Amino acid sequence: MNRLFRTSVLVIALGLAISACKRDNANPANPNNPGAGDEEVITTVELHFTNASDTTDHRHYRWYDADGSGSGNAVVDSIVLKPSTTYNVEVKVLDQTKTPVKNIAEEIEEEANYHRFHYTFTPAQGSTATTVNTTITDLDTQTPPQPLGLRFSSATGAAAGKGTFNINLRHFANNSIKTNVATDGESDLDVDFRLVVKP
Amino acid sequence: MKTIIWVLLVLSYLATSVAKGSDLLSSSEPRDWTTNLGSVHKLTLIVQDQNGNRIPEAIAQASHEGHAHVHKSNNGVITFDLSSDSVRLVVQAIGYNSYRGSILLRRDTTINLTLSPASADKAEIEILTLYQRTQTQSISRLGKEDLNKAKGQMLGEVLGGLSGVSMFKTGASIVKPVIHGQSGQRIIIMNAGAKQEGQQWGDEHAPEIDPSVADSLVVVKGAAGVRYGPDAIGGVIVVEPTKPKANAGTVGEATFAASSNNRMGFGNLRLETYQRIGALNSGVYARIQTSGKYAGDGQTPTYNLVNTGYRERNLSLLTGIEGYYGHLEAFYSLFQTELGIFAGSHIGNLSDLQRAIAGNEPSIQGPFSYEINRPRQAISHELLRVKYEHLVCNKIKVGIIGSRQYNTRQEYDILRTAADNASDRAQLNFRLTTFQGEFFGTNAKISKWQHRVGITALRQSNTWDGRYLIPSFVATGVGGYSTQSYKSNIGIFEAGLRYDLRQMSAYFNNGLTINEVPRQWQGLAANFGYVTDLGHHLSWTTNLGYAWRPPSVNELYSDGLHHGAAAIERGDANLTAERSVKLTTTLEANLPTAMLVATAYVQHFENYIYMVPRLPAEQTIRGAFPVFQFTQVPALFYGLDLDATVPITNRLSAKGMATLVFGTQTTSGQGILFVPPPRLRVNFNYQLLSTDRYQLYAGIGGLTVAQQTNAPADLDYAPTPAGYTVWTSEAGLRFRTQGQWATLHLQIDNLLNSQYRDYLNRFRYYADELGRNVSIRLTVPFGFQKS
Repeated sequence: MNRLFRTSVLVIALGLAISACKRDNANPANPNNPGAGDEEVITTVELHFTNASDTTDHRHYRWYDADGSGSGNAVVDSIVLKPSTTYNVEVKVLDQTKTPVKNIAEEIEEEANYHRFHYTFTPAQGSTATTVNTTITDLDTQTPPQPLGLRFSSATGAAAGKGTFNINLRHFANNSIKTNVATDGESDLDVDFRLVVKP
Repeated sequence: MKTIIWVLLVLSYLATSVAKGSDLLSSSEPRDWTTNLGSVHKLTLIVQDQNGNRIPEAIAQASHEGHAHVHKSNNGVITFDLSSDSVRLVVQAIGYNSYRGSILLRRDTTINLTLSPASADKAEIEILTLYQRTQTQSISRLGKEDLNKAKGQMLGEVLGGLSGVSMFKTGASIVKPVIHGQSGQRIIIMNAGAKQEGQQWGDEHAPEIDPSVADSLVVVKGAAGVRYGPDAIGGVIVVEPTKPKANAGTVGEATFAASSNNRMGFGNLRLETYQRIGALNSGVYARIQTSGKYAGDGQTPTYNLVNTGYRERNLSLLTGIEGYYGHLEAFYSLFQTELGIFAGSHIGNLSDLQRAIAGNEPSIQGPFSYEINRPRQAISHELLRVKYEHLVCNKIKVGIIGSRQYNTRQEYDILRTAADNASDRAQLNFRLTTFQGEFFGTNAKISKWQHRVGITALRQSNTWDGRYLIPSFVATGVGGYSTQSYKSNIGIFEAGLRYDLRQMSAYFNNGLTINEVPRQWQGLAANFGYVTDLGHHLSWTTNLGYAWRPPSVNELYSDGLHHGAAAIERGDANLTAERSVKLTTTLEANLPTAMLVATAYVQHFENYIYMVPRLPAEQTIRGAFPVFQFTQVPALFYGLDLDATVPITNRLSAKGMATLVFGTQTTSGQGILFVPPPRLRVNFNYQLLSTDRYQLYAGIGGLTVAQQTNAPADLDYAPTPAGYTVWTSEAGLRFRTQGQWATLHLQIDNLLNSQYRDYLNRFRYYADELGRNVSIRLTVPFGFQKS
């Protein structure tokens, strides 16, 4: 009796084990399209410059990579600004792999407390354009509010010249605290534009 | 130059150990501290089978107070001259169940031992522990006691204590074994007779096995492609649950462990029964085993490693029925783990990585927590294996093994929006299903010639969703092998040959059409070996193995950003199979004063698949990333493993182990990335008290790892970390309860709370290794009266 009982326990255990087996319902011969995945891709950064003293002077420049971080090369415009001029700038960040195009700037704005843009102008060697001062003009919702950087003003110096204009979006995880230090957090965006200052 | 110094250091250490041992012998002090006064008794064992025929191949090990003697039989008769009265005996012969027991030796004694026939596979593994080898590969083995000590650890950590084996880690929770400098795809893990098939191509993908399942772990350190098939180019790890003992009735064991560093709790419960049915060697048996782990963040000596906790749960079932002619067995195991990836290792781009490396401490810090956040992994692995063996005409044993594995892996990245991070959606999702089958035949009884032939088949399919990393594919394989061994008076000769055909179709969807990319590879594996007894307690083994492996799916088709490494990794669809030849030679000395094993090897790769950086770094919208491309180069690995066990006194014994390995690309002469640096480990063990009811022991050990000076500097983000030494100390109490030994074991790792980084840890760029860890473990066996 005892043996019979034990044997039946074995059989039941084995039966349970076999029936517990999980299976893959997807078909390997019909895979997903990596491009159509719902993963977020950033393809485009647009800078919209408006001359503060002449609102008809509007210029915009684009950093565009059709597949985001993929193997295709990016197409990057050169920024051209007038000397001794202040521009109000608006940043647009898009995912153009999606239809309709996804506005990532909107999401950054919604989660302003976890994001911070940094702008750095580095003059080219021997360039006379020594300054392009940027001041961030929008704020997040913390107390006290901290700069976000989707909107900023950019003031050029008197001299003509050229250099590199870097945009770096720092992202802070939920469990880390947002700071204004350019090296804290993690890069969501890190792109260089060529910038020319000429009359 | 440094290498030579290292070799000299190790050799001089070993030489002094041997010399010390000899002194002891010549001083002829009474070695036994208990009752006897140095009188020597003769022990004669007559080993025979059930029909009363002597077993000429039998070997026996007699051990007492830390000394072990291994003697071969002379036509079934084994003799020992022993000076101790309490002797532990192990008698083994290929094809038979081992005898284990203790005797009291008060006068010259003759014992008749009858060994019962065993399933060939089991006997093969057990016998390897003894000095007379039955196979010519270089082997290390962890027995039940070693495995018990390691309860609560990862499989890779358990193996990391063996000579020639290192650990490739991604933080403290992901550990991959490295054998003679080879890891990942070049190593096979045989889990209960099935080749483990998970997503093992990833550096941060640990083997999905709970070491608590195993009763023994064997590491084959050679190109063992003949017996185990393609991929066994660097070595094989054999994880084997053995069937319950026929005489034990219903028994169980419970283990509880806790450790201070990550505040881990661990429990393991095992229950097994064997019920005889009628005739001798017939019965039904079953075992159920389950374990669980719950761990929080690991701590370095100065800070907490945020998000490095993990959870793990396992279940395994073994059941079988055996008779004289047949043996049917089923094994099922389920392994599930969820683990956090160190928050400071998630890197935005190359400049972030450089900043993280330049900083002394990780940028993300926080208090201890059990919480697991993104980035994290969730893995499940299920194995079902059924085996049937049958004795045909009393001469041939045939067997069939079938298995199914289902592996799922989910990886959760840190995403840009808090809303996405809060969702339960994984960014990488793989499902891998593998069926394997093997049919084999072998001689049932031991003779001068030993043959084994087999055919194998495999079918595997992988699907994914989320972010692209590797494609969907269907892979199939068939193979056939034959191994022969011949025993003669001058040694054992071994030869084997194998052929395999592999086919893999990868499927790509570009949004408009689905492209099928079929690839096919074939290859031969061969093995020649020789083992001989040189006399004077010396044996010499040499093995030449030729093995191959098809390129793995990531080496062919990976294309994308790897966040853990801040690198873009690109496969090469035109890679050809990797082929390698390895020569291993081992000298083993089993002296009464010391046991020494030295293994030297050299391994040449025709088409070593390797990742090289391609300049310039690629500019993406997230910033610059270095690009790494898989390519093939000729490569050479060579090295030396040394093991020494020296009983210094009756109570004090020392164990030493040294590992040296070098790897170079032969065309450029440049070193290869992530080759383990030289290591030396020494342990001392002291028996404080040893009675019939209690045993008390203590030990201390040190591990010294040198700096890797042979690494290619321009292929790495940071210079190789400095060498280090860490100390471990342990103490334990064994006590008898209900006729069995229970153990309470206390261990302190990184005793001095040293701050160091290890070359083979991918997180060495960001953080130190773990600080001091105090762990305690209680193992309690229990039994029920036999019905």
